[in-house]
Formats: sequence, structure tokens, C-alpha cells
Amino acid sequence: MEERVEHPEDDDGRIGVFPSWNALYVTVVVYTVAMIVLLYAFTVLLDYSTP
Amino acid sequence: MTGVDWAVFLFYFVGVVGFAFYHSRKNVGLEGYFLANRRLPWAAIGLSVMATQASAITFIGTTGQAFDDGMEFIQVYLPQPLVMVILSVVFVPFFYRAKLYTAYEYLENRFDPKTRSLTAFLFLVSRGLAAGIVLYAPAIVLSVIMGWDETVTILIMGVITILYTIVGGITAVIWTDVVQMLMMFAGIGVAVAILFGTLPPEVGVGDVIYIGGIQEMWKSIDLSWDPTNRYTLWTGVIGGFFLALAYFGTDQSQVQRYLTARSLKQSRLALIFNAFVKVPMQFLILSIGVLLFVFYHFEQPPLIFNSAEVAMVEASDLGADYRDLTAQQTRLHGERREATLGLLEARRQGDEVSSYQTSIRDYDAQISGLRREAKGLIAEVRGASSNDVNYVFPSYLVRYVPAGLLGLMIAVIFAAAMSSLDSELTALSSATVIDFYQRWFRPEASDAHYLLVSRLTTFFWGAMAVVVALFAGRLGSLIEAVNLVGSYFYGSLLGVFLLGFMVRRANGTGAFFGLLAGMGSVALVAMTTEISFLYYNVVGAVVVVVVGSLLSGVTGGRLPEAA
Repeated sequence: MEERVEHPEDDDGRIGVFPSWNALYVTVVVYTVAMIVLLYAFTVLLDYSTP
Repeated sequence: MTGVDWAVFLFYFVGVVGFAFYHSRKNVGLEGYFLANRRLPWAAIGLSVMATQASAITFIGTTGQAFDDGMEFIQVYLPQPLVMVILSVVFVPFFYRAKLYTAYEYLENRFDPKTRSLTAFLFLVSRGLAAGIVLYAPAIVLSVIMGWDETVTILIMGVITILYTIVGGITAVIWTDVVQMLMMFAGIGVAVAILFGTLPPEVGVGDVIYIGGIQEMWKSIDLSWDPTNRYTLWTGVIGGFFLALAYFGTDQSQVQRYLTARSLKQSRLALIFNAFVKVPMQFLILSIGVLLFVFYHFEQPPLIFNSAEVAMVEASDLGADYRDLTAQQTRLHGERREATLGLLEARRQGDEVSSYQTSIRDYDAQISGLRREAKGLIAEVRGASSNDVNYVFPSYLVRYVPAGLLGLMIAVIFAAAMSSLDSELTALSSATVIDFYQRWFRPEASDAHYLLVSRLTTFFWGAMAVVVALFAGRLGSLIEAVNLVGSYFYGSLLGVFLLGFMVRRANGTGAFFGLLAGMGSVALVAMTTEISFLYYNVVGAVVVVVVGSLLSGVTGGRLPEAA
């Protein structure tokens, strides 16, 4: 608790363009899923092994 | 290397050492030496976290792996963004608010001294030996590719890293990591540009993607459920998740980085930065390997990239057999090159391409077969298996990269090795001093005394790394054994921390014997099954949490006053 008094910004307020930590974390989760989907699209679309 | 290359190379060393000393001026006492007086910004810490993970072998070995097997290794990195979120939410607040020096201190606060000492001991043993491998692996590659003396390479990398780490502590380490990581970013960009520049002029970006696609080199996601397959989406997401959580959440070489932040918010931002950058960076590094694969459809590659092993087999009784394989490869490469150019021309004209594709795949398969045969010959001569994956990229650099840029790329390999070694040294030193010396031998000494001992232990671990690196070539199977043992306890170490965070009634007896049970279970699974090593971390963590919880229940749980 002591540390939170020293740095009240740790858990509250905006994080850059994000309104809260939770919004940032949700963005990371969405980003991860998007990367997996994108890589799967690479896998399918860039497969020229069958004529 | 030309004079320009040497100038670039020397500029790197002078710059790194100067930068390290410049940034270490404000360090005060033991907290300054190990934690930079908790005043570093998130961007520096974030880059240092990346640089610590990316060793020289990550840089040169991963490209070689993609050259042989394509992009599938990327799946191991996919859970890392989620791991960073979990660390930010769960691990970092525990560590940061308790004002710890090492991750293992938390285990004494939460459990007991024996659990703390056992985990710290496991860290020291595994990382102490691994630090030597961090030096040895790139040194042996550079000695073969550049013709440099292996001992001199190890000594240059080792001595300079030890010097600035002893003098500047964690501040010097993190700021040099920043420079070294930025150099690695530049090196990746330069490598991609050079590769495109050395392709025939008529071959465009679309052609490169297409040729890679013929052999499924862009295949990044494998949805098969086979648990013995090392790289699938599931082994990556499940096994890779536990591995990354163990590494970033419990390994002192990483935990120490985010304890240096000026606030909890800065610690979290450093990790979230990694969440966004790590996977794209790894994608680019692997892409270099695929680009090399395409490049060698137009330029003849060596049959085996490790020239020292080639010289050995050529001088042996099997030399004629090896030369015969090389002649076959030369003929097949010429035919494959013609087929590849024919394919690209047919595509441009809108003609039928399937016959070309079939031919190219056949040639690729035959050339791969020749490589396997050649490795078999080398293994027969050496009396041990042969793998030239770490030599693919450096071999390309030496043969095709223009003057000046070669010096930069070799400096990048040095930077990758040194940025990992310096982090290991400060982590090893902090665990030795805080978790053993201060805890068990001199609990009440002055700050100046601890600072002196810390510098001496940094020197000790640095010297140990150099000695291990110098003798690593003769240790052979011992190195493999060290790596194997490391993979046995990583997940179990994570399990102890998870037990502390998640199970309120867990006590020291449960944690200590749960840890032993976890390591034993992983050893048993490794010896009796064929599952991917990435799953060892899952087994270890789960067994520790389950056994630790049960044992805690049987032995009376956690005392109320400790809760």
C-alpha cells in the first residue's frame, strides 16, 4: 500500500492513449489473437505447394 | 574483414564501454549497483528485457532454423504478449511493492528460507553454466566462419562485458543493452535489405514470397494435435506460455530488470512494450532464414555450412564420398536454378507453372537428401551428430555482405552475446550476495562491504563464464546435460511462485517438497515419453501446485500470523 501512495498513478488514470490499464490489457489480448489469425492467413494464402 | 569493417567493429566496442561508464555515474551503493536506485524509465528496461532474451544464438541460430524448417518456430513466441499481461497484473506488483532485490526473496517472505535457498541455488547452477554457453556458442561460429581464434574471441567478449558490468552494475548493463538492442534492430533491417539486394535483379518481392511458398516455408501455424511435434500452435500456446511465464516471471536475469523501474507503472509499461514488439521482431528474424532459402535457389550454397567440419571430412577416408555429394549438389543446384527462373518467367507470361513447381520441389528434396548424407559422413568422422544450423547466416554474411556492413553485422552478433551475458552476471551476482551471502553469512555488514562483495562476485561469475566457454568444446555431453536439467526445473520453479500467489493456505513444507516432486515428475516424463520439451514446463508447474497444495493441507496449512 505504501508504494501506491508514493505513485498514485500506478493503477489509475490514462496510460498514453488508453483510458485505463484494463483497456491496455484487452488491447494486448486482441492483438495476440489478431497475430495468430494473421499468421494463419499467411500459412494458407502463401502456401503454393499445390499447383 | 576490410579496414572499414574493423573500424565499425572497434567503434562498437569503444561506444558501448563509453556509454556504460557514462550512465553508471549516478549509481549509489548496493541498491544502485543491483537496482539502479530504482530510477530507470520503461523504454530502457523494455529494450533490456528484449536484449537479455535475444542471445547471439537466437540471432544466428533462429535464422538457420528457418532456413531449414520455415517459420514454424514463431509459434513458441505467440503467448508472450499474454504472459506480459499476467506478469503486469500478478507478478510485478508482488515483487515491486515488496522492494525486493531478487525474485527468490519473495519465497522466504511467503514460505520459508529453505524454499528461497533451493530456488536461488537452482538458478545459480543453471545460469552459471549457461553464461559460459552464451559466450562459447557465437565464439565457435565466428572462429569457423571468420577464421578467428576461438580463445581470443571468448576473451574479448568476456573481458569487456565483465569490465563494464563490474564498474557500472545494472545501470551500465541496461543502457548498453539499449544500444545493443537498437543495433540488433538495425542488423535485422540491414540483413533483409542486403538479402534483397543480392538476389538477381529480375527477382522481385512477390517472386521471393512465391518461391518460399512452394516449399511451405511461410507456414507459421500448425494446427495438428500431435504432442510429440515440437512446433504446433498448441505446443506453442500451452508449452510456450508456461516457458515464457517461468522465464520472465521467475528468472532473476529478467525480474531484476523490471525492479529497476522508477515506478510500478514504468515496470508494467516495459513489459507491455515487449508484448507488442517481440513477435514481429521474431517474425523478421525468421524471415531472414526464409529469404536465405530463396536466395540459395539462385546462388549455390555450401553443401554443409560449417567449413571446419567440411575440412575434417575432406581430409578423412570419406573425403571422396563427400566430394561426390558436392558434385551432385552442384549439378542439381544448376538444374534447380534454371527451373526456378523458368517458373518465374512462366508466371509472368501467365503460362502453366505446375511442372516447374513439381521439378523445384523434387530438386529441393534431392538437395536436402544430399545434405543429410553429408551430415551422416561428418557424423561418422566426428563420432557425433552434426548440425550446421548456426553457420547458415554467418556464412552468408562473410560471402556476400559488402565492406562496412560486414563489420556492423559481426558487431551485432557480439552485441547479442554481450547483452545476454551482462544481464546474467548482474543476476548471478545479486542472487549470490542477497540470497546467500547476506542471508546466511553476513546479515549486518555495511553497504560498502556488500558493494565490494557484489563486484567480486560479478568478477567470479564472469571468470567462471569465460572458463566454461574456453573448455566448453571438451565438455560435450555435459553441456547437453546442463540444458536438459535446466528444462527439468524451469516449470517447477514457476509452480512454486504460482503456489505462493494463488494458494492462500500453501506453506513452506508444501512448497519445498512440491518443488522436488515437480522436478522429479518432469524427469520421469522426459525419460518415459516423447512429448515436446515445451510441455515439461506445464508438467512441472502443475505438479508443484497440486502436490504443494495437498502437502500444505496435510501439514496444517499456513499459520494465521503468516497470512
